[in-house]
Amino acid sequence: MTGALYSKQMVIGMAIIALFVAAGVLAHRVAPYSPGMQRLSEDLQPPSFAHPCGQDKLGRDVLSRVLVGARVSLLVSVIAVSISAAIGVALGGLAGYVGGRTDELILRGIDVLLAFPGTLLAIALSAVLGPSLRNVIVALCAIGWSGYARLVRAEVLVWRTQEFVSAAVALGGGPLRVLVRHILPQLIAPVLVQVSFGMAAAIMAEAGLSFLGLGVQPPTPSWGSMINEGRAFLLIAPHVALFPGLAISLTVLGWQCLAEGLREVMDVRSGGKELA
Amino acid sequence: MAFYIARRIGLAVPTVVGVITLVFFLIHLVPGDPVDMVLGETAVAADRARLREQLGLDQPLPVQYARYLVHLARGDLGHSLHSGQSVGLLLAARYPATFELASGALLVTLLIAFPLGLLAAARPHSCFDHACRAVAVAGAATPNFYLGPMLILAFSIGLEWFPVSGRGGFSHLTLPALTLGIGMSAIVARMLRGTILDRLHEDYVRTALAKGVSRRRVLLKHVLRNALLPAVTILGLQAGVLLAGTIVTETIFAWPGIGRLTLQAIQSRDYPLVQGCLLVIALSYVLINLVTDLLAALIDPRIRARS
Repeated sequence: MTGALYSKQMVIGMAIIALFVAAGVLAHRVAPYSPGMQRLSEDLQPPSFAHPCGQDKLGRDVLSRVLVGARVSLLVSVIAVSISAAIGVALGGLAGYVGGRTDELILRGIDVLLAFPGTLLAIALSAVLGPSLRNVIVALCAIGWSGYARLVRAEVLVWRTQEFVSAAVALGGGPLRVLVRHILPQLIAPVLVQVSFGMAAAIMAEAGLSFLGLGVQPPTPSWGSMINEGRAFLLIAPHVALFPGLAISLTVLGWQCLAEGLREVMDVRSGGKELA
Repeated sequence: MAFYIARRIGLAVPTVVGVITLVFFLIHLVPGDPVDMVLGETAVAADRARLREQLGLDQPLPVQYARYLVHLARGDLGHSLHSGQSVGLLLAARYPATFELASGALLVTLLIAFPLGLLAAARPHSCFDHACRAVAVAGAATPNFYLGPMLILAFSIGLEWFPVSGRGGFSHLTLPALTLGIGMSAIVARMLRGTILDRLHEDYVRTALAKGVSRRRVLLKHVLRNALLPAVTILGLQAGVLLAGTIVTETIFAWPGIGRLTLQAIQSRDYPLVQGCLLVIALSYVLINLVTDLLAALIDPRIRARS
């Protein structure tokens, strides 16, 4: 640790994320209108007092849809990142601690996945599985775990040679106990940083898939599909694409700031250097 | 160097086999019957059986995989289910457009990232440095499917400087290349700044400064050269983002490349074409990573020595 408990970047990130989470959790309560309520006579109206972010081609309130879109984004990113991190930590820990053929097998799997552009794989999986919220999560998990596994494997390889681990083994600790009780707690900092970056990437990927029509399907609002719908009206109603895009950028920025701040405060890099 | 090249190519072979296998099984995971997708569920049994045989779907999966490998070795990627045209020819017709776009985006990245990273590192914690970092953070947080429409809004609709879509000369390439290149520039500039700042604390920099060499010369002649290696590596890693990004960017700008063809194939469930597109993009990524490693070895002789 650097000594500081927080950095400016981290506070900014946490404030943005708190807003995002609040919007996601309370979306249906704080949204001024129902996200699906259509007023065809008021299509593509610009921002006004009654509709601060304007209305879309079906006269739906853009602000309400952006707020409910936060819920979808939050749901997908939290589930996808949690599952990816769990699989990645388990496989990475196993590969690093057990070694041998298990390590080789897991490492080859990681290599093949990393040899494939991640977004492309997510697009391909969503395409073959069919567009739906569940399949977006499956696609993001399928590509997400490899990053955590690689990180955890590398860290475990370093930590397993430490004296306190040898002592735990000498005292009769089994492999699982040593890994879970003694080694994995040391990896909280780097995994937390990776999770924060992973959240940013998952939000971006979900929105990207929905933009291409391979993610969340209408009428459920998603920031990506809202941008795609708004593309056709850039000339007459730029607000339709503008606000969901700003929401994505702001949220991604929040997670990136948190990740950078955490890295700074927990001194992940120098910690690694000392160990190496 | 020849030994290093041979060794690195040898290491790429299992990766290529892995990618080919992954693409094959990915497409064969498809829920539902591809025959239904082409003929519809109401087609008569005889027609369905004929098409199934034609596509080789009547064989067990290992046989299909073996046939796929044999055809691939002959350069045969199959035929589009919709147009009936050779997938290889369709891809060959679209590849130059994607190559042009990717090269343009790479040029944008180099033109933005290197000056920004270098200038920010030259005056760390100055107003310029803070501004560069803010731009880099904002650039990295802006997805290309949002940046593209906003660039169209500002420069095509507002200022009328560039065409909205299509492929033509330099004016057509500018906005798609910017859309694809700006996000990458942000990441590379941030990384370059960090690397240069790290290098500035090295002994050889202190020695050069103590000998009276100007700070500018030290930065350009000694530090930049040493920071080039991580920059090349990160550019190689970003190639995946670049190639996958072509799907979104080509769709936004109606750019007639492989990215747009991939999405069209996905939407029309043309699986041989989807398979061909994925394979070409993934193999391009493997090739770029190979070239990146070779470049890194060319820049840093220690890498060759270690191998």
